[in-house]
Amino acid sequence: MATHATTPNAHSDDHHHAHPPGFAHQFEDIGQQLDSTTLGMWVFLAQEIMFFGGLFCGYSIYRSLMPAGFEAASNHLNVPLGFANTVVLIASSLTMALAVRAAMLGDNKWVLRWLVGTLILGCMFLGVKIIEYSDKFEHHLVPGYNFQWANAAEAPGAQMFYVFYFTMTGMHALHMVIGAGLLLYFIYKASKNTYHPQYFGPIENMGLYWHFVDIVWIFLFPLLYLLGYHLGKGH
Amino acid sequence: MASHSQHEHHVPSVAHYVGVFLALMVLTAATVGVASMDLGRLNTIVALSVAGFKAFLVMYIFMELRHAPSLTRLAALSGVVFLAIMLIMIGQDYGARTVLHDPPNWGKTLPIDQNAPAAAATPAPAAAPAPAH
Repeated sequence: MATHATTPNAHSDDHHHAHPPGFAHQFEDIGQQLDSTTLGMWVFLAQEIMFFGGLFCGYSIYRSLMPAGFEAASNHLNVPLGFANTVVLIASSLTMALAVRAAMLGDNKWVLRWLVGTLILGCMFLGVKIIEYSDKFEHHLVPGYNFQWANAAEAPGAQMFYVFYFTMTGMHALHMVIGAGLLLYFIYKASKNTYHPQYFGPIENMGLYWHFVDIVWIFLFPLLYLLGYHLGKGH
Repeated sequence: MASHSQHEHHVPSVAHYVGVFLALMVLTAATVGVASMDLGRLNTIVALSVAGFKAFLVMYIFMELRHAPSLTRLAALSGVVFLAIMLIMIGQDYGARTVLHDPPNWGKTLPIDQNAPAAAATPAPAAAPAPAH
């Protein structure tokens, strides 16, 4: 592989090691670059934890205020579909982790394959989400003017539950859509043989983002879908 | 941080990842199983404990915190710690607002005086004499 020609100056030989492709020159060496970008990604994810944390916090408060309505509304969610989506998303985390591993080995062919697999699983997740959302529209479960709930006492709590359901799963789905867009970019980069054992930081950060979105769902599934599951089949 | 020239990357084993994946599957199935039973408050405690453990597995193995430098681990931990601070302090606040648990009183100003009956929702002295404009 040809050496990267980003340094026009001939004095790059002065460095005690050659600069591998993908090296950004503000860093001491490729190792420091990797540590720095990973750290930056984690700081971003800490911010994301606080963002979703605020939603979880609001959910907890309103659930404690309107427990009956929340449980009844939760019981209307489709647990098999939610479970299937959990399996799909955790599987996509596995393929993502394997893509990062392939990048560490410099195996771009397998980076590409695992990323395509991750993208397919991500699209499956979003497809199921579309089915679920359209079901909510059909059954007048979207908060607002057309919201309908048979039990008048539970109605305010049920509607509030669906406010959180749509906000939280909607923000999660938005993260999935952004992640799918990023995957397309990295699939393109992998097809250009960009990654090698010295340079795989961007793929690793893509993985961190994807796993984070998976973690959010790991909490959303029990809190939204399983909250009223013990009430028996309501769907 | 000095010896980066030959940065040793731990290349994780596939078996490790597949094992974590299977563990996550089993835990998910267990969560659904437990949720189908009515255990009262225990339902939520079990669900959140299992979800927390699953999140730990994902962070530690899939997100490679296991081999991450201490600074990276600290950054990851800080997110969790600040989340805990937010949830605990807001939880204490709302837990203490007894009036909030009485729907007809939602949104009303709380009486500052503990001895005053809650019903006497006089325009609380919260709006203390505002600094004159």
